[in-house]
Amino acid sequence: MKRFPESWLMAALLLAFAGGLGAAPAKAPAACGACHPDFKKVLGDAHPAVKGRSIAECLPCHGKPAPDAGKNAFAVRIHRGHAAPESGVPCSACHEFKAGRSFTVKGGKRSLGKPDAADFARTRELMPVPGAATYLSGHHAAKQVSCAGCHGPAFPLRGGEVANPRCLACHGPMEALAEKTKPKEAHGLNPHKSHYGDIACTACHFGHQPSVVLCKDCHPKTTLVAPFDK
Amino acid sequence: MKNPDNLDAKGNQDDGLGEAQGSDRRGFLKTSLAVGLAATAGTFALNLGAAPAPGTAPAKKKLPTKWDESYDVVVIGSGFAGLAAAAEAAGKGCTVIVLEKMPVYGGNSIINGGEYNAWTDKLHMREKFNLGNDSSDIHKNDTLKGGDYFGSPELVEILTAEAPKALDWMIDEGGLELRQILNRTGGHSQYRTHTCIEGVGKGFTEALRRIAEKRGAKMRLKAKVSWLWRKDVESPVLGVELETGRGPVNIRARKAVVLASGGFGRDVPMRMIYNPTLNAGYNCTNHKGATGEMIRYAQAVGADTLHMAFIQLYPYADPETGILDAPAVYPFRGPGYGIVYVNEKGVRFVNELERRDVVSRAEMATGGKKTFSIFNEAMIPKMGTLEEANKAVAAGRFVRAATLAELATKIGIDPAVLTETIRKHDGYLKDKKDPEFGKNITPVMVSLEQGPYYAIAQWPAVHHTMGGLRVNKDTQVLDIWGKPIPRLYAAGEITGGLHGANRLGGNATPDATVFGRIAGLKAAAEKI
Repeated sequence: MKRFPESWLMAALLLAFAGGLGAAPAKAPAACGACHPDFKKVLGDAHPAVKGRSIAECLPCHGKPAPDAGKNAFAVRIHRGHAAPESGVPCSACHEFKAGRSFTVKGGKRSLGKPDAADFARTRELMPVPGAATYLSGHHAAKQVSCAGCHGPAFPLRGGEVANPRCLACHGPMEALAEKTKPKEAHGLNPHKSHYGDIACTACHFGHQPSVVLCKDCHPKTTLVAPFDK
Repeated sequence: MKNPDNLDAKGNQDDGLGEAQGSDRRGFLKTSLAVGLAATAGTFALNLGAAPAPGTAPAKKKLPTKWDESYDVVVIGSGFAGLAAAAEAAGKGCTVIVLEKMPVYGGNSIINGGEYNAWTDKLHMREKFNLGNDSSDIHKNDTLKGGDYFGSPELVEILTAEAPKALDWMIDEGGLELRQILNRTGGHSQYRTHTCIEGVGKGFTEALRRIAEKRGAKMRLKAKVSWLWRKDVESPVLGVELETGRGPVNIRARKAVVLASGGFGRDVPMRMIYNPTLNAGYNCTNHKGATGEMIRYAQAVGADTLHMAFIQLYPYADPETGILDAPAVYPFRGPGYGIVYVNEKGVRFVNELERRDVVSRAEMATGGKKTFSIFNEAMIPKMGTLEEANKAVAAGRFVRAATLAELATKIGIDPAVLTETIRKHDGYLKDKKDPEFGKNITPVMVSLEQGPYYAIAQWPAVHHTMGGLRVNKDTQVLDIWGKPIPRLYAAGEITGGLHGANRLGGNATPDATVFGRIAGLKAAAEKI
């Protein structure tokens, strides 16, 4: 069942709603220049000069859907800065939204999808997670890996899974991971080379909730810990 | 559609059958059957649920007005039975989805001991190793006797007749490889227990998975079924409800649903309903997902159950954790070759060729906290491999020593007592008579005169639930009136009635495989 036929620029959407798009109608759409009189300070010397003062200026270079599994530093960086729960910047600073019809970056011609109210409710729940959390997703965000870096360009559905090839594209091959987690003691468990054989990375590693050690279900004595398990 | 409560729902969470709900459910099982059946009508789904309580099924569930997905055959569970059913249904051209609630496939099957009883096989191992005679009838009689004649002769006959064919099928089509060993295990009168090369059930699940996938069956992990859809007592089963992070998803089964989700060994409140002694103090060999909720969902649409109180303890699990790992299968394979069980004092306490229930009870009656299997290196190639034994020693599971006295010291037994026990047993092998416990001594049993010697600690842990859904020979699930519930099939540990009071070791894999195949074929034969 596919509820999102459009290919979303999901990184933009996901990170856009920490402030709550609908929740902040009082705040007028802000031009970037209002807070950033000097773009060079924010963007650094390596970035080409930006002339205008609105988000639309970014789109010619950054407005394409995130390439499959690639980094999308724009979406991550800009959203981490603006969409953190404490930032106070509403989604509507950069986005326009008509329920059930379109969702766009201001000045962008292309609708990024047709989310309904429920989608937005869900997005608001998920939104603060990638940037702020101590979970795996927060770690990826800090390393400038966008939502799309794991989920691909389509809007990630809750309960959806990230398939192994995507994890292994950066962290693989599995044999290398197995070597890294080779137990020191003869009777130690190697989570990447277990009696289960090839299993889903997501059996233990969760993006948006604490990761777990599946082995512990049956081997309670193991001292293995999963990173980002808090 | 949207159900934020499910955000964090995972297979390892309480499914609403914790202590708090236990009493509600007991009540529901006893009292609401007739009421629920009579009261349902209209667009409500058949549902014997009690009053709504947190985590329980609502009292009334509306049938789905549309289906999110649709398959010919929906299989629940990805162990031996589920995979065999999926393979056979897909082989008949059906679209098949296997729904597995856990993040890894295989359930208890993939971690089981890798044992398969068949009175013959295409490799003719019994003849090759000169291990006497066997037949489908002898296997059948052993199985019925081992279950104290509670098992259904009709079902057991199918099991023993079809077991060799299913074994050969996995070899031919699934690439299954067997060890060149054949064991006589507890309760069996003949040498018929085969072991896959991996020494754990994964050898069989992989063979079945290969066949199923080759034939086009699809598998979905972390896919937890939360309801069976049936309109009324005349209606067929229509499909299943899946609990997802995005709320319930309804899957239509155009031909049939096959229940192959295993037993309830890991569900302490549920097992205590049927056997109150099996409290949380007992370890369990099962994977964490063996919680039996599919049995309850089937009951809620009218299915009958039987033999629920017959719950097997595996006598050779790791005393500390309850794990049944590769080393823990050696004590099971060993009796036919002369393995000796001793208590913490170093004295024999049971006929090693006894059934699992008898050995388990005898172990607990020793009054200790563990018992030991004692064997020597000469026996290892008959039970497994030296490589596996070396790994078990390194892992601290086997204890190895050059002499019996040294072995005894290492495991905390008086060396004189253990040596005396083993020397007496050596004498019994020579005399072909066991005056202590009446063990049936055979010529292939190995004397323990030569070292190096091995020991492994062993203790009972909850292992297999013999009871479950009532089925007929075609694997159709029967309702409380004995009528098949249309388009609902079940195979494997979720079913009851075959093994009786005690399952003979090595019979579960052929049970699940043989009846899984039947379920798949019968499901595929349903008309759309």
